Amino acid sequence: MAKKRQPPVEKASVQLLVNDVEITVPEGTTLLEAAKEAGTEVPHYCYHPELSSPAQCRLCLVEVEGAPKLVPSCTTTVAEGQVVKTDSESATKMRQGVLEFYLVNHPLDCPICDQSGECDLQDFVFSEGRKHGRSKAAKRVIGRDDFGGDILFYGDRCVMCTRCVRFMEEMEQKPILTVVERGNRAVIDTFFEQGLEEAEWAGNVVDICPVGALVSKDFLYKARAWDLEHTPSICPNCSMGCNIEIHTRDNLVQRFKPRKNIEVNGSWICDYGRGGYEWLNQGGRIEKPTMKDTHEPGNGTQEPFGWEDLLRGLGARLKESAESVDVIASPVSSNEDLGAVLGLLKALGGGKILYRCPTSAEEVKLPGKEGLRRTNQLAPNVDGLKILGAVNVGDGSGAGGLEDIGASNSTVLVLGDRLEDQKDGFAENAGLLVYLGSHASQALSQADYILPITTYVEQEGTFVSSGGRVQRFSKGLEGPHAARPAWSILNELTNIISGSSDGDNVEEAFQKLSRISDAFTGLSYEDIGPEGVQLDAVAKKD
Amino acid sequence: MTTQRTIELPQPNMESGNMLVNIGPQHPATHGVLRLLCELDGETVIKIDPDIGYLHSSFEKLGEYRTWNQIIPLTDRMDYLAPLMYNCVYVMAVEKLMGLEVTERCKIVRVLCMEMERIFSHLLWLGTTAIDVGAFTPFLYAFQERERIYKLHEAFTGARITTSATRVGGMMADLPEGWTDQLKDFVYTFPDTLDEIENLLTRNGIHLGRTQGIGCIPADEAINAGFTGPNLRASGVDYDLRKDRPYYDYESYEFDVPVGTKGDCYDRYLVRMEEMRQSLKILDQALARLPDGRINVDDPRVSLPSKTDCMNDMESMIHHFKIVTEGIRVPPGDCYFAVEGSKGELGMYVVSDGGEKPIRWRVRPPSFVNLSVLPQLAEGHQVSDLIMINASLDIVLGEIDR
Amino acid sequence: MKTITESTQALHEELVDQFGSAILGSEIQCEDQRVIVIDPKQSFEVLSWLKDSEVYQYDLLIDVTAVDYGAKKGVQVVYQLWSVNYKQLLRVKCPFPGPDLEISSVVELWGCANWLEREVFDLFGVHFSGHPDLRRILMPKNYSEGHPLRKDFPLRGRFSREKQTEIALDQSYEDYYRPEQLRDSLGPQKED
Repeated sequence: MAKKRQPPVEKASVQLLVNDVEITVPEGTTLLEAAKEAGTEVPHYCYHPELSSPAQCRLCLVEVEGAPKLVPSCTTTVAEGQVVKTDSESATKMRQGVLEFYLVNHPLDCPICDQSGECDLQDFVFSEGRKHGRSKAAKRVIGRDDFGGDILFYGDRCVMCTRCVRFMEEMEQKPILTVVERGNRAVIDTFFEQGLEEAEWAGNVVDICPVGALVSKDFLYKARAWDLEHTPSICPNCSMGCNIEIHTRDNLVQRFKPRKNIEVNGSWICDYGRGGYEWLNQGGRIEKPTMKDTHEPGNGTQEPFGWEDLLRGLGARLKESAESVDVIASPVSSNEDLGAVLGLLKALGGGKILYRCPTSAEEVKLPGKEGLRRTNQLAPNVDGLKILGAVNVGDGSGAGGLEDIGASNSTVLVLGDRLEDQKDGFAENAGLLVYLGSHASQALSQADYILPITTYVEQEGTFVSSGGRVQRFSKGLEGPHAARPAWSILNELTNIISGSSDGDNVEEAFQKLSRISDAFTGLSYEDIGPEGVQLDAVAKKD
Repeated sequence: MTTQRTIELPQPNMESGNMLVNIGPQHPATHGVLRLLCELDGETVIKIDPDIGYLHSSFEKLGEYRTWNQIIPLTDRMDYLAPLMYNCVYVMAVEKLMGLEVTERCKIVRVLCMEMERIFSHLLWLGTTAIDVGAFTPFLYAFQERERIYKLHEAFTGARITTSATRVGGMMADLPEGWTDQLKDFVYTFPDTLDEIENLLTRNGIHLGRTQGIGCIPADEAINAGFTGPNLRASGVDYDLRKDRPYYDYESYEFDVPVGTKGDCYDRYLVRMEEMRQSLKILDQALARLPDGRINVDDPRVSLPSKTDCMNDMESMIHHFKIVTEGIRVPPGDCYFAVEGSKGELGMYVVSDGGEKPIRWRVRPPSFVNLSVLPQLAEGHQVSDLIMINASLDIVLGEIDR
Repeated sequence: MKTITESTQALHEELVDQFGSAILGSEIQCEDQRVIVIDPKQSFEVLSWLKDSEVYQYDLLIDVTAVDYGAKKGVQVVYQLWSVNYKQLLRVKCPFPGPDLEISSVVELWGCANWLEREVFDLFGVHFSGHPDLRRILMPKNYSEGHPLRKDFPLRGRFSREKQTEIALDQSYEDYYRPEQLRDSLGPQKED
């Protein structure tokens, strides 16, 4: 029966010696976590910091002076003055023996297994296992099982750590997976016909499976783990702001993996977010900045220009014509983009920012973690837009709400929103229509200026999550050669119009937000760090 | 502290009539892409400034982005006249850093390779130096013999020049059948050709006139200038790494190290000729003691397991996979290891931080330091002597420029 | 016969007696390679002592190189010394504490340091004060992308391919000759 770990109640400290390194940890810490403090990673399978510890994989056994047998470090708590050795002869021999047993029935699937390159079994055996196996008996075969949804199960590879069973039971609280049979025939299975189709967080079992037993159908045979480049980022599919890693190869996104952030999403992301990466690979990009040839109205040809001439011309037109600018922003725009828009509006004499956002009627909660859910707002920076004064319009599906835009002689700036719901010739009566977009838009094909911008994954910046947390994302892909982040274009325009000389880097673009909005006062880009910062905490600090 | 010195570089002078002449970078007599910027007073060389870098291929930078075994193909592109030597010294440095002892058979095979390369490199030196002096025949004889070694290279490694024959922990494969017989055949028949070439050159009046007294350097200056290898020994300093810092049981082989007296081009010629004969002795002894057995070390964390093992045994499968996809791990530390290369002290300095790629891989190329002495040797001589001195230094631009 | 540990210890102590705080430590690498770590500000004195000392006589400078350990540990200059008489190898490491890479040249002690230090300057940007001829050796004379073997230098250089080709094709006489060489070489010019 798995023991549920109790979080440490008091902050009393305990001092002990791990591998000759003296450390001090709070009471109630397990030896495995204490070893991490001492800089040692103890190999383990069934233990996961956010799940219960059944101590059944027997891989994390360490030697404690005075104890008659090796103890499992994932469940044994620290005691004052303990002397712990994780690499003593008995501990290493035990690990070697346990690994040998795991390999007795393990299929030689490395060349075809998705987990190769990020497989715990491979890593542990390479560093601590035997050189050759000794068993000559035939291996037990279980075969492949489709668990429904996105999950495939290769039974031969399973090491029976039961992390998947415990995740579904404790975290999602839908106990769909279980262990059936026993002894050598034990295997993970679902109950009769019910599979993982209805589970909305099931993709996480693929992440926590230490071997290639549970794999994602979507990622099957797609790319090798060592070919992938990892980029820390934020999930763009709802406003929860789960921290993810974007894995890319050949300048295409291959998958999303969760990045650990205890305060936001723990080690989990929902299936909706996980599966929503294809739109980042879409083609149909705007390759070059173009300007409609105004000498021959109606001709509609767009001449490609160099950035300098074009922005100077645009800046001049904006200065002379615009009193008030209507901006249609996208909820995927970063805070820096929005800050640059506000800076431009200030230089021109004001305007308003509208946005439409697709929403969903329900939230998808993860019961095992307080507060973690797929929110109603299906875009990452809705809260950033709210804080900076943008107005939500539309019918809740990302469409509509733009009837008042495009009056004659008005100036319209569209930032990122492709206006897929609008007819061709949107705002054709407007005095000046500028489209800063990543992808070509049918409705805006006749805009006066079409300027290519990078998508959020091709630039760095920040989003504000629904919990009021500002979090950084990094650049993972290369956009088209001429594409620039929207804040870079808009800040340069502001420099041209108002004569300022703000630098062209993301730190200064973020500083602008500090000047514009109280919510960001006192915060600098460097302060944010890889795990983000709560905005109210910053405000309280001053 | 140090006093500020300046070096005067060549410059022409309208009053005295000195001319500025480029020899190279494309010139058959410079033995590679080397530019010698000379200030000449008629035929006399007043100043020289060698300008290198035409063959620079950033090998050391590339090495930082490759796993330990992936660097081996880079090593044979450097001294392309003795590629097996470079392959061997690189893996020997890494093995020393890992504390890995290779098998007996591997040691002797590597000794065979290194001595063969010494002869290989000296033959090229012989041929090209002779032809610089004007003797055409030795060039052809030497290159004919080199063909036999090319064939040995090809039989063993599959390539004539870019051999990449070693791996950390062993060699890429064991010697093919009949290879040792062919090598034995070479060892027994080569002295005849060497005698013929010696007949043509060693007591040849023109050759003596071109090489004796040219480019002299006394022993203490040679040490200060950083000479190593045959150049240093020709000046009278008995420094040979095989005797002074022995590796791979060289102390158990019987061979002599020829040492010259005057340090001129003729002594360098004599030293190298004799070295070739001594290498033959070593080859003979090594062939006699070549044992059977494994050529690769029996550690599946370093050497790839055999394919049969890999397909039948789970542990071997995993080890094979990890070695190929990630590379072997070398413990943190740094190691400078040098062998007696054909041109001098060939050293590799590898620095590791425990990962699969080196932090720094430094090649200490003997020709680099040897070439830096050229101004000291050649200034004051005639242009044709300059060519002779350059040839006698036995440089290869691949390792100078890396 | 002293063991390697004993002899390294003895050398360390003697150096500390002579130079005090300039000696930062000693190590043994790969079980038989002696390493002394010194402060680059006093490297000339220490190396000079090592060369001239009767007991050690490191008269052959095998190699001068540098290692860039990245952002945390910075750059170190490494000397490999050999004593022809005593047949002893010694490594001397000089770690730079900060981004300022300045060290004395040892060309006065060993002539071969001339080109070796030029290469370290070219590839790492370490400035050798007192070097008679410190200029680039492997990279072209007009190379302006920086110092290639530094860790922050990308593998393919800082400029784009197009710009690199442009620079390579746009060579001029000034890239190969010094101004005084050109002036005298081209002969008296007509005054316009």
